[in-house]
Order: sequence, then C-alpha cells, then structure tokens
Amino acid sequence: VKRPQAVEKALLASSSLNDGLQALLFDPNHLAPPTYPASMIRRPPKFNAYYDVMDVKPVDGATWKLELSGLITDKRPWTLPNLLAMPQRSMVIKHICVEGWDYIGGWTGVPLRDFFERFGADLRAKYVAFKTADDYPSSIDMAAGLHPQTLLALQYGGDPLADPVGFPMRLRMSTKLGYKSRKWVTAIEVTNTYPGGYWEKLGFPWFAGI
Amino acid sequence: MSMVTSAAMRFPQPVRVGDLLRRDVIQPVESQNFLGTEQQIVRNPDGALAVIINLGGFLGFGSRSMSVPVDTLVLLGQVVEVDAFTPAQLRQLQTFSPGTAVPLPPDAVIKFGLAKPSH
Repeated sequence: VKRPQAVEKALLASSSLNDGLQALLFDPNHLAPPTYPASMIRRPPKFNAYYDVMDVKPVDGATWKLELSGLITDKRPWTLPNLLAMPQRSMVIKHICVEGWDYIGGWTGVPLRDFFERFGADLRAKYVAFKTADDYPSSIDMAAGLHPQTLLALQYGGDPLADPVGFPMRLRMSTKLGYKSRKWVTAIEVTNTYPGGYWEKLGFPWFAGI
Repeated sequence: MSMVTSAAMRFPQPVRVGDLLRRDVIQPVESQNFLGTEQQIVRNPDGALAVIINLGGFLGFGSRSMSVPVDTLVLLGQVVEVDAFTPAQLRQLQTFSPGTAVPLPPDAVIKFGLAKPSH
C-alpha cells in the first residue's frame, strides 16, 4: 500500500500529539493497575526482538559493566555484584507489546530512582538514555525513570534473567509499551538533549505510554 | 542443521509439564493458523521427549492425536509453534498410540526452545 508523504506527516503529527498528551496525563506516583498474583507469572516469558532468538549473543555477567555518563555525579562503572548488593524490589506486571500481545511477568531489581539517588544523577534532567549489548538504543523521560515500577531488573520469577530475557540486567517498566524496556543494558546517560532510539527513529512513538 | 542443533540454539528454557498442557499449537506464519492442542508430554523408550498434539477436527470431532518431538516445537509465550513440520507433513504422521511411551507428570520440568513471534 502506498502512503503519500502528506499522509505519513499527518500520522506522525498525530502520534506526536498522542505522545504529548500521554506525558501531560502521566502521574509519576500512580502504580499500574491491576496487580497480579505470582501464580500468574508466565514461565518462560515470551521472547521478542528485531532479530531471531538464535542470533542472541549472551552477555558474560563476570565482565559486564554498566557505564554511566551525562548529568551524574559518580560515573564509576557499576558491576553485577554491586547491583545485586543494592536493595531490590519485585513487581508482577503486564508486558504489553505494540504488536498487540501481552503476558504477565514477575520482575525483581533495583528501582532506577534508588540507583540515580545513589549515584547523584540530576533528577531534574529531561531524559534517560540506554545503550545495550545488541546495539539497540532507547530513551525515556525522567518522570518515567523515577516511577516506583521502573526497575533495573536482575531476576524473572525469582531466578536470574535467562540469556534471551536480558541477562545480566535489563530495564523493566510498567508504564510504557514493551519496546521501551531494553534488554542487556550496558550504559545509562542522564541528559537534557533528546537521545531518540532505534524504533523512535523509525517512527514509533517515543513516549509510548500505557 | 539438525533439529537437535537448531533446538539447542533456541535457548531452551525450563517449563513445567502441567503448564504446557492444553496450549494451542499454531503454524509459524503471520496468520498464526491454529493446528491443534497439546494433550500430553511423553518420554519414548529411546529417552526422547515428545508432545502429543490433538490435531485438526472441529469442536473435538474428527481430530486425531500424534506424537511430535519436543525439538521440533518452540514456545512463544502462551502458544507453541511447530517449527520443523508443515501442516501437510504433520497430517502424514502416524496416529499416536500410547504403547510404551511414558506420560510425564504435571510437576516434571522439561526444556523448550524459544522463538520470536511470526506476526
């Protein structure tokens, strides 16, 4: 189907307006309803990526480091044992994919807010950008980053993340569509410059709220 | 590439047998055509695991059960896809008869390969 440039422009403007309205309506303290019992956790979680599962390249947790940059006071790289030693929070939430499917997942990890406070990140900054081991960058607004259900996830269903699920660490949020929760995170930047992302450059909504 | 090699590259994940039963089995195409329903997981005399799938039919009538090696199937969240057989090839498989195959209990845990959605 041919899509004239004018139609493309109108659709992107509509998507952008939708993003803006979602950001206006976003309540940084409102937890995503409903909550689910642990018995509903889908095991194993559904895999999805822009490539086949056979092309997943496992990350070595022993050598993995999380690089920090931008508006953060303490930029020392952080290791997996360091992250595991921090206070953890668990949540059972619905993963909703832009493709139309969903599943209920159980995640445990370090709240991004706690992590930022530990490292002296500028919480008034506009954006949080993520780089990943599979070269699949993305970014979110700081308000979503500070939401209580935004985790640097280390476990799924009480076990360490499996390789295709994002071991050793992935982002997991209750407030945005699945493609915003990046797997195999290797770097976090706090910035006031719009960082974009892989799908966002292809026209997918940046805010992508639920 | 052999089925076993292909399955090993799909990061097989532990899953409880009881959680696998009654799941829909679909064709790995965008339209996700329904093929059948998982009935049972069995261990064959040679040690290989197989899924007994109730294939075809309508409202429970006209279907038949067949044994499909676990290595030829992949898991996509709630549903299972037949990775190594076309629907026509599936229909040519012999009807399953319990014989010496041993059903696995619901609490047994087996490993299942993963796949990305075909849609």
